[in-house]
Amino acid sequence: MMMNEEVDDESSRPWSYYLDEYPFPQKRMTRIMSIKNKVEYHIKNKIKIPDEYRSKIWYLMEKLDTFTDCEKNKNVFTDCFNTKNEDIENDVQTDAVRTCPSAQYKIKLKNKQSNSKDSLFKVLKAYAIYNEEVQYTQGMNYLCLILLCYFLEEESFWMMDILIKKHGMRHFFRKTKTFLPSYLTIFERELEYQLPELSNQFKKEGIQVYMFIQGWWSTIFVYILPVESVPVIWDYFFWGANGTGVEVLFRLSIALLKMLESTLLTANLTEFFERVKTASAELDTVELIYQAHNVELTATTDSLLREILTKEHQLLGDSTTNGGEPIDDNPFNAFDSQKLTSLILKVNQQILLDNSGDPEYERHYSSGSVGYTKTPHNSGRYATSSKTTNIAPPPKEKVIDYDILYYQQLVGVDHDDEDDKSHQSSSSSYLSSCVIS
Amino acid sequence: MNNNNKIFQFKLVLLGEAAVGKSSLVLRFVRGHFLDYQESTIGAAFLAQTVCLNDTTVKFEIWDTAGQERYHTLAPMYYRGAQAAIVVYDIRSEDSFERAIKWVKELQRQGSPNIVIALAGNKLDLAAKRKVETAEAQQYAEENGLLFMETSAKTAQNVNELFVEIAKKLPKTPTTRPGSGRLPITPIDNNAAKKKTCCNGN
Repeated sequence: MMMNEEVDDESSRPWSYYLDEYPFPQKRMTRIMSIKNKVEYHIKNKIKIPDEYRSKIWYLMEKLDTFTDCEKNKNVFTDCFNTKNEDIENDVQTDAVRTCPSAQYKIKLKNKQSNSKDSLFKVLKAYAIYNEEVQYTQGMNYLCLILLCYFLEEESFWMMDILIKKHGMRHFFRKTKTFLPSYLTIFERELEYQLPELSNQFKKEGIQVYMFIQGWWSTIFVYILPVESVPVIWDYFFWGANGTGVEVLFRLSIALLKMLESTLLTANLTEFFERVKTASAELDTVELIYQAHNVELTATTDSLLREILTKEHQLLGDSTTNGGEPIDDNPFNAFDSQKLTSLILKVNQQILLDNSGDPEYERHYSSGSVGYTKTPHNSGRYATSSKTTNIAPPPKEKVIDYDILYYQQLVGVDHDDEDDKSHQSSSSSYLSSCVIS
Repeated sequence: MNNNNKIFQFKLVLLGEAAVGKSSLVLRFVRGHFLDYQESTIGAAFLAQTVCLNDTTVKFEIWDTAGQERYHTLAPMYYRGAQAAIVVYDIRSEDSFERAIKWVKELQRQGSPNIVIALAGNKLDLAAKRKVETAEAQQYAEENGLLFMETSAKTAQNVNELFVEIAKKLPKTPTTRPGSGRLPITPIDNNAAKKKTCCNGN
């Protein structure tokens, strides 16, 4: 089927040509590009990639050999695993024993690992030692579970590193300050634009994005989707993420909500969670990634996501910010944890400086703007604007603290709450403590 | 079910260190089952369950949160507006008891005024490995005006009782409504209400 009607020469060759028999050992990049093109062809034409090719496809797309074969990395996995740290070991062990793969995962795991719980423990523990910035955070166990279905322990360790550093999963996992609240705010706005009816239903029923989406994002949907769906999602993630994993997660989330929209439009808070679970279990995953690929994020969201990445790269002293390539060149120093800590402080200071008395900021993003679609000016702007031109991007060279906005929305604006005052006072002290922590 | 029953809806949040049994308590209460290895909760899980007292029905909207310290910054989103909280510790772990005390303090400082807090020493089935004495926890609870019970999600010991006690203690005033103020108080679907917890309340 794959061989017949395809126009593109690259896509018409069988997977084994690129994965096993590729005749040009020198043409490494060509080979990888061909594989990516072939994956793209599958996504666009809603064709499932056969599971037996996945290990190799992911391996090559992520250039895993540059990590595993690098002299510098030779003993890293073993050394990290052998480094004693009781706290980390306890944390990891607690979750390793209870990350219970369903029967189907067990079948998959069996091919690679003799004891999945041991393997989970080994990889997660070693990684927690290796990456001081994130150590072990819940959610990583689910990522690791999938990796262990397709890779050996040491390979999984480096794939973990790729997910976390290159594809930005660190934004959800790091110790000091996650970007999660920022992303939640940006996503809520995107949802209002992409699925206004559903967004209104959510508001009516008191369903907020933070209530459900953390599990989707920080596990790349392992937490919510069934066993057979997850690898398809990950095909799209690895193909599309290239340094902007969060954007891919946004696309997937919008697409998922879009596909579930009809069932969720009548759901109240209690029904919502059940329906998401039931409906996503029967989802056509190939359709989902096709839809996700076709989601056009608003220019605002696009620039905000890039703003966050750019800021990080700039402050890390990394002048090249286009995707993952620069990180590939130097995968080992790019995200030094000390640098990152100082980056976070700098970003926060900048936020405070930038936003003090900024009328533009006040106008667009004052705490009252949670209901911005209600004002005629703003709703018109969002409803009529084309996706790429009319939406004013945020002021250049500014970083808006979406964490603050998010907490304002959540904690400060619920006027029908009798306990409003006491909440606000406690929330403001909470705010100041969460900005720079 | 008596149609004259008054139905009250409350938001309840579970807090406590990782792997003390928060999700297991909720699943025992709501679904009546128990898993030896309950998967770690990412973000939070939401479940609802009702308790029948003499002349009233209490519907709990339960937020079961992730326990890892890392996720602490997100917890206020969940306990905000909650009228009740269960702070869980593992009776085999002093650390988890200390963590529970911190949660109680945070709730008293930043939670809703008049929030009903219950302290639950879970894993009572493993009492042979107990590290936290009942008397100590009991005393702490009394001094701080908390409900206190030692529970076992595994054997179901004191699980329904804990929720029933909370339901009894919650003020059933006409103004009682869910934290968001958005959900109308609606009749409970009888099929969804579990026999075990319903009308078992006195």
